[in-house]
Amino acid sequence: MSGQRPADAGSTGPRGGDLPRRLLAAATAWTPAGRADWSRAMLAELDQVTGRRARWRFALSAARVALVPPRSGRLTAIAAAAGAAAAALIIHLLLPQAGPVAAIAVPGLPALSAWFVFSRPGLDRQVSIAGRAAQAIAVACLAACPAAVMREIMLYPAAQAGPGTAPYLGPVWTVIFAAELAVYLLAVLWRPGLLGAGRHSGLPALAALLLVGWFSVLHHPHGGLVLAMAAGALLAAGTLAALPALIRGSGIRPGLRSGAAEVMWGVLLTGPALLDAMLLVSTRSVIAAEAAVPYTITEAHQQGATSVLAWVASDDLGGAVVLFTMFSITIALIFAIVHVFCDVYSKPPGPLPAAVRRPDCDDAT
Amino acid sequence: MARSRKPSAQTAAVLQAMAADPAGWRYGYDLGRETGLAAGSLYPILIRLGDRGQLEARWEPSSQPGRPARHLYRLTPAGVALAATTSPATAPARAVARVRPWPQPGVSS
Repeated sequence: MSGQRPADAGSTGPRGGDLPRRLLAAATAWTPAGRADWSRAMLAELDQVTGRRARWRFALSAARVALVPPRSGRLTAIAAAAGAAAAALIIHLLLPQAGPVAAIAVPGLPALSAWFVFSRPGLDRQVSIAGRAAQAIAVACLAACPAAVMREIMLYPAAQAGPGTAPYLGPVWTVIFAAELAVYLLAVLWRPGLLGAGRHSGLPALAALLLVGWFSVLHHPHGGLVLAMAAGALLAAGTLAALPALIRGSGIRPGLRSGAAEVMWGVLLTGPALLDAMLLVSTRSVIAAEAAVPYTITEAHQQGATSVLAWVASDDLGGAVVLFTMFSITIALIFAIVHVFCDVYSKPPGPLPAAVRRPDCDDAT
Repeated sequence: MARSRKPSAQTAAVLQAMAADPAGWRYGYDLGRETGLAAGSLYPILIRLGDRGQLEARWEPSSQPGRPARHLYRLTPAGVALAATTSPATAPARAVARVRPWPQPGVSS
């Protein structure tokens, strides 16, 4: 309801300006589309404010509104709170030893992310089927992460031996784990349109599949660690070799924004899938095979783990969370390197056909 | 959907300021100076009033080259009716205590 906009309403005024103006201009770039006019209005009003302190005060105050504008998401908040409360109750009933921190943080922080995204007026609702499918896969993988952690703790054989012998997540690691899940969910729900109209979506999925295969091979019962790592390295090399060709063949115009989107989705799809695979395989294979000798698992990380999965199945699931974080960083680096490679060595393609142009990615480059 | 909840003291202050001249268009900066509300308080109020159809806005092209257009606001009939239900005398004292005058144009602080 911001009225008819004149031709220069979209202008943010002279480029640059002092620090308060730059700060507010940066914040307005993150304002949801539905509130963009209000951000421009605040930016224009800043030009009327004089005095250094007054300008800082106005800019900081307005930046908060630009970043988190008022929303009418009362129902969204109620739904998110109800979902988090139900999940907390389930965690408490199924896994009382998880403690109140896990019961509150693990469902609570991701619910906060969901509420934040769904209550934004400018939420991107025009998303391709491929984008929605990838989004659904990513959300499913994320939801499976805490479920897999719970399952591992519940089925851990040493848990039968008495308290204190089951794997655990300390309060600090629990909060870190929950925060990571929340950040992932925020990224997954935020801009699914960045995934593109089917040209990008196969790449992260392929990488996820191969990397999950790699880590599954790492615990192959008939292969040693060296053999498994060699096979994994071959798979990873194949993935890396295939990506540039796939990117070129797909007609993607290399660019920072499309590259960043590709990196983001590579991490979103691959990281949680890897953690799920590790936890599921370690629960099924390692624990089942060594159930008769629980201390073999418990001491695995101290005696020299035979595989990554044995280490994950050892007595501190904080290790799994560490790996989860490391995977995300590693995958982001791999995809970033691939995109830099594509930017430098690929031929600049001509304009894309109108039918496949995507304003949010292609025009920004 | 319009809410029947009583407006907050800050919202009442904005409504009263705008209701003083219901036909006139106001700048956000001027409203902030008059009510003493910081931008972080004022604009959410304006946004919510706009969402409920109690405030209308329009853009005013800048007369100075290089300056962006400014947003102007005034109450709709629904907003004027809401303002009539509020009174500055009923505003809690804490709202008045929060008031901090905005600097005058051209005066550095």
